[in-house]
Amino acid sequence: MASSYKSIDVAIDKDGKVHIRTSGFSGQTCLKEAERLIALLQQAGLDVKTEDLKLTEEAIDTRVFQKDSAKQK
Amino acid sequence: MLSQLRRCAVSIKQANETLVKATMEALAKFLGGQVVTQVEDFSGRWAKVVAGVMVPGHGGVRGFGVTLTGGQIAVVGDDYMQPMKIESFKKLFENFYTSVAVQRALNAMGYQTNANVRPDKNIVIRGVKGAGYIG
Repeated sequence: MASSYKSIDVAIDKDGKVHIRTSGFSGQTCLKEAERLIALLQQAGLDVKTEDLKLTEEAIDTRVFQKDSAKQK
Repeated sequence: MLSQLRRCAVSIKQANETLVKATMEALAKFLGGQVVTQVEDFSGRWAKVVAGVMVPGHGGVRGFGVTLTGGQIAVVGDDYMQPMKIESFKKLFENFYTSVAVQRALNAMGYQTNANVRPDKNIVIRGVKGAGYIG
């Protein structure tokens, strides 16, 4: 049972590099969501260039899943 | 499920005045200063800025500010005998501008956001939405 919980974590390091990590998205929707975020940042006047992108199988967040299964009981 | 890790190079290309002011509010809070519309140099001359912040310093409270010309920002201020140098302020301003833009973008996408500013480290923004969020 997948959770509808979704998160996007963004870290801006001392050098101004932006690191984006998404969690909770099914399939490749995480890519679309990050691209939507980047488009909004560009609208805010920022020049954003992706330097590196890694896709990984998401580790199961048991904390979230436990809450979902508890709701169904 | 897939997750992604993405690293981006970001710079201010066409600054937005509203965001500049919001950024300065956030910076003033972080530095323990106050938002101003003029900054002073060591000789006592004043310069108008779109937004600036006066920060405590042992050379006087003169402040740093930002001017906007056709979307291009310029940081103004006199760092003589100030604990913070103008280049450091510029970098801090750019990073805070990005963080304010990220928070507003995530809010517009329906995420609740929480920012954690760690001095001399990262600014981390967490955006969450959907059922199952514990907090």
